[in-house]
Amino acid sequence: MIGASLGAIGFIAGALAAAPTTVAIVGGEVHPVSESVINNGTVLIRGERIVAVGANISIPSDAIVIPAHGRVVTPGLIAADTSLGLMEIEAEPSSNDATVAVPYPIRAALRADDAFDIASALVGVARRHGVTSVISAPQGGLISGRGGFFDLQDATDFDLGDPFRGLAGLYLRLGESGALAVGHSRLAAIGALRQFLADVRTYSREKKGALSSHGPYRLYAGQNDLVATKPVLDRKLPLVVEVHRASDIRRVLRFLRAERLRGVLLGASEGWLVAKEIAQAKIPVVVDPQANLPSRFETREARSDNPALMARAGVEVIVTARSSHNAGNLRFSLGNAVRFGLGPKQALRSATLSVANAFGQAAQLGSLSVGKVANVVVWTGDPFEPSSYAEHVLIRGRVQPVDSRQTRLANRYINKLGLRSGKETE
Amino acid sequence: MLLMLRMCVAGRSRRARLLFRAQAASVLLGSFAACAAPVREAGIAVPPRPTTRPKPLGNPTEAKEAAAVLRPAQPGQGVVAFVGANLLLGTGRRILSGTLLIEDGRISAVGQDIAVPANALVIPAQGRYLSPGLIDTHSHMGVYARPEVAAHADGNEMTDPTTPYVFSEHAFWPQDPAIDNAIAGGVTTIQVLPGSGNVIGGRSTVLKLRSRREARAMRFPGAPFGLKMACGENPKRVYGEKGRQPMSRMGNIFKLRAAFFAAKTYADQQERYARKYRKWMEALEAAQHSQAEMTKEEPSAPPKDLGKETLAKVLRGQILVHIHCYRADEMLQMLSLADELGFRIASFHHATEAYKIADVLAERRVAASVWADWWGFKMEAYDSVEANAAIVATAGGMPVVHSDSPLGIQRLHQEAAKSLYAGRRLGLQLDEDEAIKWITYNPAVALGIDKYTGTLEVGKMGDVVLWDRNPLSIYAQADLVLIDGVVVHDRAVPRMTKSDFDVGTEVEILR
Repeated sequence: MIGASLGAIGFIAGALAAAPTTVAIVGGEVHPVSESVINNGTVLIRGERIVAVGANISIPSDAIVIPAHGRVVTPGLIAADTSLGLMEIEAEPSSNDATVAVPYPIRAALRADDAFDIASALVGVARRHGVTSVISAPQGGLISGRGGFFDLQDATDFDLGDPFRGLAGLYLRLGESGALAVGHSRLAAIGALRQFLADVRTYSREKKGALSSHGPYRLYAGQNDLVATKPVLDRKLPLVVEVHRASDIRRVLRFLRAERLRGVLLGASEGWLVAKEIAQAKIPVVVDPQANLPSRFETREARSDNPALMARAGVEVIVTARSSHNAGNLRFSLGNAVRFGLGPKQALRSATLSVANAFGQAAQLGSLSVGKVANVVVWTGDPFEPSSYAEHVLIRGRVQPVDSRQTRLANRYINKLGLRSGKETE
Repeated sequence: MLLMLRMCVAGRSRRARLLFRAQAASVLLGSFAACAAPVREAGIAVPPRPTTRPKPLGNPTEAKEAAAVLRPAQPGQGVVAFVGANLLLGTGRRILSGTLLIEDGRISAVGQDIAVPANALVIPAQGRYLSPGLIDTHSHMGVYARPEVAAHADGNEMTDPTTPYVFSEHAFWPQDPAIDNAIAGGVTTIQVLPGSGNVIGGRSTVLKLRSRREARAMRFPGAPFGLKMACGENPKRVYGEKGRQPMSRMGNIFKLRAAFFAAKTYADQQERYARKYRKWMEALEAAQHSQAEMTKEEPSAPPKDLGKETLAKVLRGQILVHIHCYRADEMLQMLSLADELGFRIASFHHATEAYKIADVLAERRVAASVWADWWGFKMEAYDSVEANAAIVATAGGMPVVHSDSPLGIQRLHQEAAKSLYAGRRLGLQLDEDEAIKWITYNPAVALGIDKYTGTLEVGKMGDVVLWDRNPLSIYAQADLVLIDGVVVHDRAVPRMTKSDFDVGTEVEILR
């Protein structure tokens, strides 16, 4: 069945297998994100890179042409808050590497690329909805570890290389989740954080001397955690801080400024209350427009237009669907952010260039710009509408399958029960 | 409490005693014990002829409650006219640019050539869409209220795997702030279910999202109670971890069968007693009529059991069965079990694999309450497909898009859209009006309230939503929501309803 479902683009994919290749996406409404929209535009790709974007691009005779007339062409979406690739079944510890069950709260040494599985069934489900990259991170603890930036490429296409693009950030959980990890109190959590950072400094300064049991120092953290955190102090890696309450956000902003760290806020349910301060600090915020309830006391002031209000105040907003299994719902999260006041262009930017920017991949990803990696989606219409879909998905310049384990299962039973009367639009 | 008082006072005469016993035959043992003491012999040999035959009252929470305590919401007065709206009827059809009238809380006219009465409140709705109020068959609002503090975990009585004697409405907190957001999402009716920790979790209740005093005042008039049951991973995990039964799917089914077997015996016993009692009453009346001595001993009532009482009502078809069940094979098992034990299943809930048995569900007319895309959080939710509802519908079945979430309930229309278009992409031919049924008519049928709501048809309750555009668009907003003809949400009036919890917050007037 899958052969049939891929019929329309099957030969394109086949042709692409013989690299090097040139692909021309022709005639679409092109949203480069970095520049204004190009009607009847062309995106030209050679190998894994974008080589031309514009209205009057001559198409080489050897190019594989993907017609995109009446279609919308965007950079691939990037899901910012996931543990995709680290879990298959959330409740089954044997298939879940994201939920870390170690007894200590500081786990800076953990890194997502040690367990990421590109063959996970979650990959196809997200890619089908135009998500071409994710940031995937471990969960739990006070410092959960380091998240990674991954492309959601076809696992069977070995020519594409390692899906891992680089480390995305060190994850710190403050507010109620951090408190949960340390003594059920923010006081204990922040105390533990202070101690840890002091240890990192001592270690950076004294190196091995700091570790000697005969020396003047008593370090509480493990050596690997100390080493892993050094790039954060050197501003090479952002500190991604999960935080929700307005008063906690203020505290985090002060802390990031005092420590001179690169930061990203995650959650920020009450961010709209301190939006100006966040904007002044130039700290990007990963936010879920659908988290609009006082689910905890720290999100008492949550509201649907939180992303719109923060964006209006000048905050670099990154919209998320806060889901691993349904990272593909990112486009609907964006739709809901627009529904509650975020500009559609700003929404698209938030899930492409803004994410790439915040997590250190802006030179490679996030816009349809010459020289960037060709992670591109051709949509049948408005990407945020359920009635549209991602017709073609390209990652690193290669056409990707847009089916998933789910569509295979669905087709298996649609056929078994003899229910299909229309044509499958793949 | 009022009921108990009435019964206790009633213990003064022989006639009253008879009445009292008849009632006591069907009420809480606790109430009986509380009243037993003050009952006195009144010393009248032949009671006067009863004017009406005493009827068993059933469980006290189902008995008539004093309106003075409950103050149920009253329907709207006057006429509301939606003029020029695209009417999504919920029947699988639509009327473009039509008019709908609500008179004294009920839909009184639907069509294209409807005269608008002079006294009507006219709502110009050209270019907008009017749908029935949305219905969620699966909510835990109020029993797992926001904020999610430990003190708000009231939906699972996990002290025994079968707790048919508990009622979700006894835990429902009407000030759950999530309710206001659900209303703003176009939801007018919800079924509040106990959780799925037990194989038999207890009774659900169907509520209209209007009055906020107490669950009983919000009850959907005429709606039957539901019974929440669960198969699969949850009960076996909850009790298995305690080292108790059930620890496996085998144990789950055993617990269910054992509970229903016992309930069947109980129901038979109750029926035998009711027959005997009827005969005895007839004899008593005959004796009274002929001025003869009553010689027959009054039959003694079998003891009451609140849990079995609920299950007996299920066996009599008075309570609708809602089963949390993910896997296709387990749903088929539940259907066999229902045949064996003699009850009907109104809806499977979550039903991740409904698409695998869409033919059977269609044939048996069992609704499948599903999400569009939740999956992978546990093993039994691994085989989810986005087109689940669409496949069930194509097979002629009755899909329902449910939420199980105070976030999801705000976007039932979007979830229906997601599943519809996922189905179309796979080549299923379904129109948008079919998807509207998944959140209006089909859930009304699953809850046994389709006589009253779920479609835009004359005589139905004035539960409607005016959308600013096609509700299957991601951008659609509910401009107006009416319940019984009363406006409960108006997008132009921020926070028309709000819970006490939101008072004193910054978002009090904004969220």
